[in-house]
Amino acid sequence: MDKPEKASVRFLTSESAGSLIAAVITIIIGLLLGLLILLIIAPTIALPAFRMLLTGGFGKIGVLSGIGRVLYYAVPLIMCGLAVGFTLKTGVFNIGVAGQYVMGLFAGLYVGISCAGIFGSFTWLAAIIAGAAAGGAWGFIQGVLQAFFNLNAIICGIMMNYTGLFLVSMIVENSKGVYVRGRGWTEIVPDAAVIPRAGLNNLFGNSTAANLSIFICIALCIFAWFILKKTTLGYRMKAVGLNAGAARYAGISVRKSILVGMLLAGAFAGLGGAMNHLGASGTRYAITDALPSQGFAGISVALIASSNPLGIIISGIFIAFLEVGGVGMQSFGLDPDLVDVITSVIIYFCAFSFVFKYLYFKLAARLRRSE
Amino acid sequence: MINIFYFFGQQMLLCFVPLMIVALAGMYSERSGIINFSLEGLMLAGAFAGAMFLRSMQTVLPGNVAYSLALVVAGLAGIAVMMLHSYSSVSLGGSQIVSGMAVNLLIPALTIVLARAILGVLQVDYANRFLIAEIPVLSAVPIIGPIFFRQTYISTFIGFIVFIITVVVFKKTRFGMRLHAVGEHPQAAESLGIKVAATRYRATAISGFFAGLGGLAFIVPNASEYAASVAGYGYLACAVVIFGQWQPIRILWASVLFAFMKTIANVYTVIPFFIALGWSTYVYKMIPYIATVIILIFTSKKSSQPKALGEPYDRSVK
Repeated sequence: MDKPEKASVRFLTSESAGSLIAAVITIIIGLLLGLLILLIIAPTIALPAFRMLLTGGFGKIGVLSGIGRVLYYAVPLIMCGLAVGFTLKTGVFNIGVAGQYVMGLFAGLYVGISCAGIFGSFTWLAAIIAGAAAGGAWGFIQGVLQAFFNLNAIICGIMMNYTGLFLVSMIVENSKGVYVRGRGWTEIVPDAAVIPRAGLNNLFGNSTAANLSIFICIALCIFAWFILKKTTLGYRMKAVGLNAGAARYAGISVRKSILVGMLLAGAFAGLGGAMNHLGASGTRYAITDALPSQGFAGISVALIASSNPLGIIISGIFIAFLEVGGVGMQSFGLDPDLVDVITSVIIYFCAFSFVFKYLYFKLAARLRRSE
Repeated sequence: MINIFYFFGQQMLLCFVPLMIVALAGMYSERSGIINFSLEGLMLAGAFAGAMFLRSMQTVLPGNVAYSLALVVAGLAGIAVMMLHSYSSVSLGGSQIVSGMAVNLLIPALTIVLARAILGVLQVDYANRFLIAEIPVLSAVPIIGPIFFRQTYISTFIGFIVFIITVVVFKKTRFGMRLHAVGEHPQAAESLGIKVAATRYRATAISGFFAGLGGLAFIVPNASEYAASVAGYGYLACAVVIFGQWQPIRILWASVLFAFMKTIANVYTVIPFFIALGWSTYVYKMIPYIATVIILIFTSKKSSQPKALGEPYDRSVK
């Protein structure tokens, strides 16, 4: 009975293994439903289209351009996923990511376009820092509303999303030198503000926009993991997330956790917005009344990874991979929206992924008993 | 001047009616303890199904017969989609925010895919011939007549019927009381012989029906096509439910307030006072959202939120 368990057994019965299995099951269900829809709406091309969805992310064999594209798409997804997952650990469902993202995106573009003369070849760095600051500020305001005024986090997030979006539209319209009057969009970002390729163009070819920002993403995920896992601050945040009442009783400031969580999450999302738009040359921001989809995709990225920052790197790349495959499906005359159907089905199953975890542990326990 | 007043009133009804119907829909679910964050998705499902119905019936049925039936179809589509959320929330005890969000993300994408597969285009268009120019006799009543009974839609009256039904259900019927009990203290309700899960399924089904209906009631007066958007009204309705403190009459007034702000954003360009201010369009677009936050700051202290809202029911917990 008491003999030490093997490392493999210890892993297979751990919480993380359960989360991993649950994630894999939800992804498989999502993909199968996607295939089913394809078979119904376009039976003749369903199989090749589905193959394109699953392999389009690799691109042409030997060229690796697909992978480069995946890494470019993954940047905003990972950052928004981190913005959702990080606050989820402290018990706040951050629906306001889309607003934080768009604030960061705008601040990044603004600095990138109007301050190229000041910062020279480091304009891109100043711009993404501005993006992080703007997103962080927007997240912090939301944190204050939640922590001090007791506002419902969901409602607060929705209101901050739309307010942020319209605020950006208003500022863009009134920014001389940034806004192209009559066209409804901004000027093109100057080359000094485009994030360096960091040698990735040698690997994936010049046609893809993979750049330094994917490394920044990975570093920030590790940073977030470190905070949550190894620092007192992270321990307190998680305690608040597990049981705010008990944490308060133990002398932990719930307000401080929410504020720090929202500030950092906003900065992550804002940075994601700035890095996405400054990652490729020749991008513009067009004024719109629709919230950016990356903010909501971040929810699926975080949920698939059970909010684990290291898992978010993988799930972000996975969703990006599907998105690139989805773009490829357009060559079959199909809408890339099918990818959104698949990811939202995955989110749906994430709502009760503990059911899969429970079944898995029951199975694991039975196997162990029969040994 | 008086014409602008009537015009504003008519325009405001177009915002007010769907917003109130959908907020009341949300209230049914939330009073039973299930957070209904999926209102946006339910509206979209109803609007899509209703638009498809209108499109296929436009040569068969007369205008307002088709529209009335389409509202029922929209409601049924709302129920069907809501059952996804209910199954996760009631039967599996899943995260209600997550499955609600999943519905909100699923429906716009799914309806685009379906519209493209069925019609070949992304928009579902239909002949919009549902405007009622004037209702005789009633339209002659001063003030009320021009606003409610001229240039109106049948959905406006259905909206008020939904409101009256809801008030009666919650104040006078056994079902309303049970729904309330299940949302406040499910364990106590169960000990009195009320079936918690069945009551919640019924409440969420009604919620789905009205939200779907409200989705079609939103797009018909505002457009002649479904284009996978209800302009965030479902999210706004979530806020109206909270601001309305989960009570029908307060939700009515909250909807009036929001519709007023939304209408200003829609029609400020024809009102001399607002033209003179010279503000950006986006100021008016922001106002409803900023006002929500400010109003909630002052009202969220004394919240009468259902006690068991958002908590999966576990029979073993006493």
